[in-house]
Amino acid sequence: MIFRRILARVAGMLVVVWGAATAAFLVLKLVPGDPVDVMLGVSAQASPELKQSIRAELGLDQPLLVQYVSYLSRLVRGDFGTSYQLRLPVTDVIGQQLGYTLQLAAASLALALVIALAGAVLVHGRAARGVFSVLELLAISSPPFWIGLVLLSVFAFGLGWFPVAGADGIQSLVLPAMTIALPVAGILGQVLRTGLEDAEEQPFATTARARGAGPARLVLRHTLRHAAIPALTLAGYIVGSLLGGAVIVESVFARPGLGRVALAAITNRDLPVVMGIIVFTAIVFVLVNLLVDLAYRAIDPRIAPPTTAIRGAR
Amino acid sequence: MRARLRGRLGLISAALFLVVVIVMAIAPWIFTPIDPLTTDTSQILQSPGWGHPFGTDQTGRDVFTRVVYGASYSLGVGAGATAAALIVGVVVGTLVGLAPRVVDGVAMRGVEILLAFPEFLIALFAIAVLGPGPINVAVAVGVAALPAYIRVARAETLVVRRSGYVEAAKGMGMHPLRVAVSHVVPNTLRPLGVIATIGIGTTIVAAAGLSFLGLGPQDPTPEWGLLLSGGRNLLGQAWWVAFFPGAMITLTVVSATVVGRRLRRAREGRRS
Amino acid sequence: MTSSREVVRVSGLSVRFGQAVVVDSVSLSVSAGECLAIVGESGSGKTLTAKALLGLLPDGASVVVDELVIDGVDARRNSERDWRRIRGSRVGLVSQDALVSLDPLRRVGAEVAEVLEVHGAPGSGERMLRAAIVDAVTGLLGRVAVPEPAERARQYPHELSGGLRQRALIASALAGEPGILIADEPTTALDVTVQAQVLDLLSRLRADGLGIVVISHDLAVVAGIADRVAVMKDGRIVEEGATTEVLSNPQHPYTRMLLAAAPRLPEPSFPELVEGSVAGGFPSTGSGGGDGVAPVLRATGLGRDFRRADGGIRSAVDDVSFTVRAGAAIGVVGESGSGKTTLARLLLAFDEPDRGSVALEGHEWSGIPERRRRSRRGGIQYISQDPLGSFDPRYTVARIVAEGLRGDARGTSPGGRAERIRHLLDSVGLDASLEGRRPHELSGGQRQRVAIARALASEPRILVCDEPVSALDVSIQATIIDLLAGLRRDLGVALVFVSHDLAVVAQLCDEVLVMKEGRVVERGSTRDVFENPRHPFTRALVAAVPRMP
Repeated sequence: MIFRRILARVAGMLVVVWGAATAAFLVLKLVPGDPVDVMLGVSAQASPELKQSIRAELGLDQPLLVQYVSYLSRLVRGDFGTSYQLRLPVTDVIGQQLGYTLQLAAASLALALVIALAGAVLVHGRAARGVFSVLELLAISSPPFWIGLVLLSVFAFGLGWFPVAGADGIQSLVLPAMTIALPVAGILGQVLRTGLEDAEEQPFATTARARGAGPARLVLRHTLRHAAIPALTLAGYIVGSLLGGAVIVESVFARPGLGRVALAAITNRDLPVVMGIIVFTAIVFVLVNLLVDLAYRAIDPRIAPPTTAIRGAR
Repeated sequence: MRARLRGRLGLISAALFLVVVIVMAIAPWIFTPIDPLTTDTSQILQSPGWGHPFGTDQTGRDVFTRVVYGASYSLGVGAGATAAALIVGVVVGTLVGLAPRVVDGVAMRGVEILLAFPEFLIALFAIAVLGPGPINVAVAVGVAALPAYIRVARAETLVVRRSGYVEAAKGMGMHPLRVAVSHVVPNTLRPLGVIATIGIGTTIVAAAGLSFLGLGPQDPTPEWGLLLSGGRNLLGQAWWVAFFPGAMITLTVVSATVVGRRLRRAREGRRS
Repeated sequence: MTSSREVVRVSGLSVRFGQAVVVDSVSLSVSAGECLAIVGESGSGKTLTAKALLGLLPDGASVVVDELVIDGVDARRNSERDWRRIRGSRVGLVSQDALVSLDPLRRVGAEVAEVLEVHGAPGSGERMLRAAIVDAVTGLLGRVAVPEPAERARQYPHELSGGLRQRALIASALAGEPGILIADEPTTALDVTVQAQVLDLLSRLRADGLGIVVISHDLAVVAGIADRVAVMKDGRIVEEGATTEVLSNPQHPYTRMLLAAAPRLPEPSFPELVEGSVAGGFPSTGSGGGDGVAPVLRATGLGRDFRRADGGIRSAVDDVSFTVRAGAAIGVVGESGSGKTTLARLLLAFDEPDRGSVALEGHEWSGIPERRRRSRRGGIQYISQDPLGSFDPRYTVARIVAEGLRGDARGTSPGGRAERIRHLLDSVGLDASLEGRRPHELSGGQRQRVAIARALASEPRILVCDEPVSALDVSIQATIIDLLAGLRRDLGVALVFVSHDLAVVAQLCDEVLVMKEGRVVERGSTRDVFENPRHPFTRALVAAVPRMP
């Protein structure tokens, strides 16, 4: 029973990655324009013979289905193809830049968690909560690039505390991470606070208080766990914000990283890199969803397959 | 009592602000006599003050005027893309929700694959396919918003479909088509309308983000994301060039969110 | 009783929210080993009175009290910190539904242990070691008669049965050895047989010297355990006295009304069970063959299976057969999970049986396409426990009722329809002025009346009612039962009345089916079954029903 469920789960994950890869392949085949032109650069006036030989070399003259099968079989072997622009294997392009983005994402996530938790748990009293919820609303509604620019003009240009650009050391990580973290913290804080407030109104919270439990114990032993459940549903959104934020923030702060690679690949129509990033993102999301599911099970013992009718009752 | 008044005040100012922005989008000339594209070399990088409330940029264009004229694009994209995504989402989501289980299962796996990607990345990928440009930005953010609407429309359809009142209607011998028209669709649309109000904000931010990255309209078009992008190289000397367009986006999105949440609360209050 | 120690003494307790006075100068006292019941309907202020004894009133409540002594401690000027010291150690709380009153994400043992972690060892207040706490928890669960207490302590609330959960909740309230236990509707969510066991446990605790305050809407429930009863209405105690005195000789009109409204079950007699007498001969009630008229509804060998989580198959309904004659009222009783609701859904053809068949007015009703049923659905109508959920929230009362009108009525003039709607509302005792209201603006009783009016619109021959009065206050419950009885009498509508409440069924129905685990274990005339139950399960069920002395 358990073995079958794991198997089904893994199969489901593979289907999502396969679907993303297929969608990427199909959609990018629909892109107008000749990839060979992209490879050679707009200015280069290559002879038709040269173009034809390159096309044959890349397998672009084959029927679509053949291209698709060879694309998939290369994917399975971990071969994402070669960048048109950089003339490097896509895996190398992603691998070189992954570290920077991971660093940024991890720092942003940590900051967001700290801010959100502090805001949800420590802020008490109607007035303070009111002020905090307005701040959260502002953080959620502000475009990340604007937050980045405001932080830059205040803390880098104005006060000179942090460097304006680059990626060396902790100093250069603070403002970019803050830029991504603030909107995430806004949403997360809101969900956590609502979750805590909802849990506080549940009968079990009354029972706990009737046992003499104080506010700290109530939050740590009871309500925070309940608030974590809706917060977990945000995991996908948060990872999305981290990756999407990276595209903008790396551009604003002139940092290296996957976001820059993605942006360059999109503006230059470097299709293998775009496909590689799509498949990479799909893998990240599948893994995140798996972690979220495991976390749900760890938090909530009630999760179990429900009793179902033998025939569909719908 | 005081909290209630404060909430009221917030709601009223949010609604008023939205009205002002809408008027800006339709008739920008009401707010400013200056042309958004006119450069004035005698007025380069003036800080905010009389005559130029938001200052001027490096070619002496009035930032306030450009922000006012930028409303039409941002709001147009926000409303247009959201409306399109909403309509397609409701049609697809409702059909999927009412369809047999097999169709529903296959369709939802597809939507889940799309939902696996963050909206902004989908928009970016869409731009990769369509190529940069102002219209393509609108299409891209619309496409990016679509999966969420499909999912919510389907989920709401299922909730309504399993509700006591749909069962009651069935129990009275009502034809399924009539049940769908008089109960399922109206009750599904209600929450979606509320979500879309908030969604307009998300769409505006996403569209401005793509413009900011240089994938949308190009200079000298006044567009909020583009204005911001233009101001980023001037941050050290002229913060106002980037600040005011960004503040405008934030205030618009905040207002849409406040109004949307108020609608949602009103709806939930009626249910309980 | 006068000699024993007072554990609660309250006088002049008033609670108000803004201008509204919700508890008005309430005074009460409880001694060790005594049980006081506070009885009232929803909105009477009984629960707020209980919460005031724990200092757990919601934000925005302002309290005035002359005297408030909890287990020897003057709590009048208690700060939140002072209250925390008392809660759990001097006063314990048991609330309605342990499924939500125990933290669903924590193990039962952790919940029972919480008081010990907060207050330390009872009496001394010394910090307890892990192992000592585990031992104490096991002991406490054993004391409230939870079998295999050590194993149960490691389980989660949802893994325990309702009765065990409620016992665990009581154990957690007892952990700090308080002098007084506040029990707020402690058995309302339980089946009758389990309710009887929990009430029994509470009276044992009282006998051990615990002071108990029981809050309940149900006079019969508290009759068995309370020494004294206080009846509350609109925030005031309108009558207080020894339980037997109040129940046998009520002084206040409101108490008299409550007593009159409460449905009663006649006292059963238990003759010696003759081996096999139940299994062998079901009396053929409601067979309706004699008068030559086709019965309104006939169920033959109905069965419906569900797959369990472990992959096994559970028959929610198994081999159920019966007939309902025109104008008859048949009750279906059983505990939760006995298959009553599944049976009702099969009768309504909201669900298809796996075995057997249903016939409506002599024609097949199950196993045919829905489109062939549609035009006949007006003949069988449904009243659910949750009328609010059965109304489209956007609709007005008039529109809800109009939806029930049959096709032939739809053709008539708008004036004729309006007339018909007004007539229907009138027939269920609703004023025409309610026509424009939306469901959420109605009271619980009004909603149920609207649901009945809508059901009557299609002039049905039979109403299937699933726990239609269970969510209502006793006085409202009585009026709805009267209404249904009147409809049956005046319109000749047959009733299938599904309920967990034997007394309600006894009042309304002339035949009854007793269900257990999907099967009908006993059937017969209501009087026979309830006065001379023969199947052991029916006997247990009837014996467990709380009775007024």
